[in-house]
Amino acid sequence: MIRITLKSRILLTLLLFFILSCSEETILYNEIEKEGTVQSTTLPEKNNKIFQTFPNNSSNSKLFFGNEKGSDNLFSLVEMTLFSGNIPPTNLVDLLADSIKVDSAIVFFETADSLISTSNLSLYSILGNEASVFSDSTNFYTLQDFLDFESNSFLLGEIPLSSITPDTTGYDTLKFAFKDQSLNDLKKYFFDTETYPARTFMLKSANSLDKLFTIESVESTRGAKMRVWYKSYINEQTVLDTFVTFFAQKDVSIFNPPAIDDDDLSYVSLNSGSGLRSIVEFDLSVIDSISRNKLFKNSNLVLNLESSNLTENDEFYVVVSALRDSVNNWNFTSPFVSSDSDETASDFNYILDSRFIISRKIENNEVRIPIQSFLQGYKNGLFQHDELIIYSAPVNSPFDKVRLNLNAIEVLYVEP
Amino acid sequence: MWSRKIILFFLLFSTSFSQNSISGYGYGSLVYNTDASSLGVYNKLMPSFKSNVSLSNPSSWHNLLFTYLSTSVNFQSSEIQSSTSRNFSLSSGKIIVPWKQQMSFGISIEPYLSRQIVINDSTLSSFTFDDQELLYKRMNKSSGGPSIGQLSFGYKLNDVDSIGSSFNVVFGSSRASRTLNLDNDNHLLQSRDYFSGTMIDLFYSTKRIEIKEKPISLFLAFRIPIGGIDIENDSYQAFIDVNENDFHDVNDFPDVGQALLPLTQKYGDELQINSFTIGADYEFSLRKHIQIEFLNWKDSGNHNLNNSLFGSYIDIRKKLSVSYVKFAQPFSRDIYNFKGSVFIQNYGVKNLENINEAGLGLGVGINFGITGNQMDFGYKFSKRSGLHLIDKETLHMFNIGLSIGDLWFVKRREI
Repeated sequence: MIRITLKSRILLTLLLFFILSCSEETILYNEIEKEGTVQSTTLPEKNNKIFQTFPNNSSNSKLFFGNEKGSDNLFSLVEMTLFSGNIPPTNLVDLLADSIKVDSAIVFFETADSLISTSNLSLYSILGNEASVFSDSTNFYTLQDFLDFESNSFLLGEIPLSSITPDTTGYDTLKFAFKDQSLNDLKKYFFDTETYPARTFMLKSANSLDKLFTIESVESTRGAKMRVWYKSYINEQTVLDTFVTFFAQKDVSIFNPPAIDDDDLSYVSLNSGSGLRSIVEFDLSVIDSISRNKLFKNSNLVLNLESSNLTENDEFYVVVSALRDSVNNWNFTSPFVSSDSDETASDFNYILDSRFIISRKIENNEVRIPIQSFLQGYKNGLFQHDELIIYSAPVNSPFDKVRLNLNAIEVLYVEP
Repeated sequence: MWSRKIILFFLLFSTSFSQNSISGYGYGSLVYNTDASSLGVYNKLMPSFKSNVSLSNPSSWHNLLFTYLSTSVNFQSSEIQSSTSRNFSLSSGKIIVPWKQQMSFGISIEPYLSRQIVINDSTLSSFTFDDQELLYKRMNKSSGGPSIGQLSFGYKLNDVDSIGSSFNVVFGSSRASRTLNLDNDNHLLQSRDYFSGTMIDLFYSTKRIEIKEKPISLFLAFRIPIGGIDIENDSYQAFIDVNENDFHDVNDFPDVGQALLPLTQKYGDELQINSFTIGADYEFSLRKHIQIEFLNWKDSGNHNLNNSLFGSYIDIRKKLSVSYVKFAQPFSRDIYNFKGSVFIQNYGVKNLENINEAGLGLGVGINFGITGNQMDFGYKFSKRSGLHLIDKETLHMFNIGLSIGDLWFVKRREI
């Protein structure tokens, strides 16, 4: 049995008193010294440039057809897998073996669009000698670096775009069916990968399609599929009657984007289809002069919409990012127009600083992009350069183009 | 065993201090009368614990018959304008070992400066930005403060003279935080001061003067800095406390990983404390004493950092106290010590109005046990005027002390 002495009892009482009574309350003063607590300033623009970089459309979740907002869609390329997705995998060229009799084949595409048109969608096979005939960098400006797709292709089939209506799943299926002669063409110009190793389809709409029409690309997970039904024989006996499916593994739309004109150079002009971007340099010298305890608060880069080809329901997101390197050439630069002998790849291929990338939507003809974390990072030495790159978000339609007016940055900063 | 654990707990927490308006000056308010037995008389040198012993005066310790372990706790109420602030804290821990009534030594730890204070804007201020009116409010807060560890020694020279000395080590830290509440976000600026310094105290007591064949005990004490008190200040970058935990972490802006490193600056001899205390004690009747003590305290430190809430510091302090004590009769049924005092104090503030303080102290000590254990209750009431921004303050301080006596260094009888 524990015996608690008188001394211990007294000490325990004091301890309990301490625990129960400890408190702290605030002394109220009429006002604490106020000067310099909250201040604002303006960061003026120092330099700006419009430039063109390599447009990259391969990551888009759609393949585009028809003409839209001054863009002319030329064709789309879809590369299929060499082996089927079934077990055991079947090589395309295996389907040409003597023991195999291909009964039929269907190439499927899916679309979420509705369309009533007199135009047709044509499916071609690219007749290249190389296994890979296009890459992510294939676009209108770089076509000369690749195969002449339109001259080196064979028309496999054509379907009308007369009544495209998505079903309850939200998609309609476009089917190119192959039987008899068309099946022979498919076997000769597509399955024979020893002669034509590209295994790439070209999709092209007729010129009469004046509306934008899209089908799902590989990035949407509803990309193209090719299903082939065949029978396998041994000693003239049928041993297998089945089908195999090949999937799209890479695709890209090639289109002629809106033209870049002289007026674009007077604004912050953005269009991802043509690779049109802007860089703005601000005078941040005031940041160096304020004390280390200042904290940036509300600081917005405000851009007003001057003009655009956006329709009422279109959404357009503007991305702003810090740069890893400073800008040397403030003239218009483009990888496709060789106007300046001193121009180098670094003049149109600026590397983004991933520590500050932010995007906001244009709303009420204005976009407000909070940049206080960039300013604080600049103050803390995280960013060394006073330029911000402005570009169209990848989620935007590549045909959408905006011209924006830049306002000086109003900055609020505080010191507790 | 229990007692030892509780005492250790008290010692560990002996650096929590109480809040009053003087904490906003300089490096905080000087903590005075940290033991309950001397609060009622509001002096340090004169006997207040036993009839010839002050727990704060090593030159009197040789008069103790037993070793004492003494701790005390402090409750303080501060009334400023219409608001009241209450605090509870532990105030001191001390062990005193007398030896053959000839000499003594002691070890103690107690708060030295208190920076415990929170001040708030009472009204919202506004700032117009981007055609919007932003409302904001500020709160400045400081807490903690250095402690002082003492190693003391007392020696009886002869029947009338005795001396003592204490070697004092100042250590510990204080924290300061400025908060700006704007747009429902708390913007914090935090800093921490680390204190280090040494001082020495010299004590002298004598009974050479007599009135009507009764001696007047005279006491003298000097505090001299050895190297001054240096302060290392760590100033952290301001941040928005997004998750409102008063701590800079990865969820805040800027992220703690992207913030500037703390700015460390060292300030030498920020505090240079000199003090001189003289007191007299006269036993005019059996166990009844009248006492008077005068303190002259001066801080001639550099004060280059100047990060106090009020932007100024106390450089001179003068105190005069007159007290009456009636002591208990040892080993009798008269177990009560009664104390009463009045005092006036003046604080000289650099570049600001001086502060005046007047008050009274009351105290009761209860003796119990064969070894002269004692429970002390001290109360101090004072009024201050001339305080920066607020002018007047009323203080109530209540202190409870427990001193437990025991025999140490006594050779046990062998059976």
